[in-house]
Amino acid sequence: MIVFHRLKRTGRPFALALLVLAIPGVSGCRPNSQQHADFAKAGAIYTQSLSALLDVSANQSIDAHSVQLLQKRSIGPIPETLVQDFAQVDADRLQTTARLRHHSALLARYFNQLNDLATSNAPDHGADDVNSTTKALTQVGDELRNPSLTKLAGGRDFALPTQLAVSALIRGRLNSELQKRQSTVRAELKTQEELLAALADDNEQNARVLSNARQDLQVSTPLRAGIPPSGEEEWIVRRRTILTAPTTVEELHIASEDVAHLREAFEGLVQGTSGREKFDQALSDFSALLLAAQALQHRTGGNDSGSGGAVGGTS
Amino acid sequence: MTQTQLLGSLRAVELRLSTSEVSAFFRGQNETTRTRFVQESLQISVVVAQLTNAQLDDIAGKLETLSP
Repeated sequence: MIVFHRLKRTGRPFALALLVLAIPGVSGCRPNSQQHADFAKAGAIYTQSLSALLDVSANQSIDAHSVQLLQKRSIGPIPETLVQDFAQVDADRLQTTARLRHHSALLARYFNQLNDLATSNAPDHGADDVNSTTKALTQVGDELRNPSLTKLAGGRDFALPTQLAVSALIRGRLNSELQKRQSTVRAELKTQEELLAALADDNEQNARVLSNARQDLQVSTPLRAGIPPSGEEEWIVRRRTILTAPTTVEELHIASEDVAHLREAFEGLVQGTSGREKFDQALSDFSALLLAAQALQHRTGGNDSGSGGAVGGTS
Repeated sequence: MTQTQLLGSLRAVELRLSTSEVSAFFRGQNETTRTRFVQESLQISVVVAQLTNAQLDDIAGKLETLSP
């Protein structure tokens, strides 16, 4: 009804009706903008989780190496060449993490711009804002190397006679954007599944190695050497802390599956068959992953800073 | 054996070598044995780290083909 009222008010109902219907994605059965927004939101939360996980994994890897060096030093001398080898692999890891973070930042910009466009309130803002948002999305899209959006926006003036048509154009552009970029997005999500599986394995390994080495240095070795009565309470607390520290994070282990779910939702989005529940699930999955990643970040920072001194004292 | 299986096997060895039982055993050995254990067990950890880096590096390369 609002549509007809607006068209009537402009005095050019027939021409505008034709214009709106001619815009790709407006007519026919297409995903609504809420689904685009949900997809973009899920993607944005995912990239946030990924950034945290990349940091946690790199830090935990370095810490595991440090504790291993201290543990082995308590058994025998360590050749300088091995110390250098560890320094090199840690530096390499940081370098690779920086590359992955850079890509993650680009992906986050893309999802955020997609979300801005999907949730832009065109009738309130007018064509100028739409132009600037679409241009910004185009720039980020270019960074993800797909020329389709350049052609899509390519300096065209999106100003249309009515705000309604502007809004409809955005929805059409969103559909068109995802349709044209689908192979890139699909490849991206598939590779992200692989990345998360690798990070989960690495994270678990380092957590277990850290736990083993700490148990050896901070629990077993002091116990064999003899703990003075004044240090017994501290030893009890330390032992409990080490034994109860989780070495696996369930959310991280299923994170790869979460990305697979997002990919399925994306497939439904481009085919126009996706239901709201898939996006709700993706949003829920990634919100849980983000919380787990942030908890890990906190835990890793808190535990490791205190362990070095205590470990060093046992050798 | 695939690269992933190799990495999995080396990780299992690394984990075993980091336990209190193994460490306690080698602390009771002579200096030559202890020195050799330290060098070889740390070498395994370096290789595990190198393989993990290579795996992540490969993934980073794939992602970079999707962006400049």
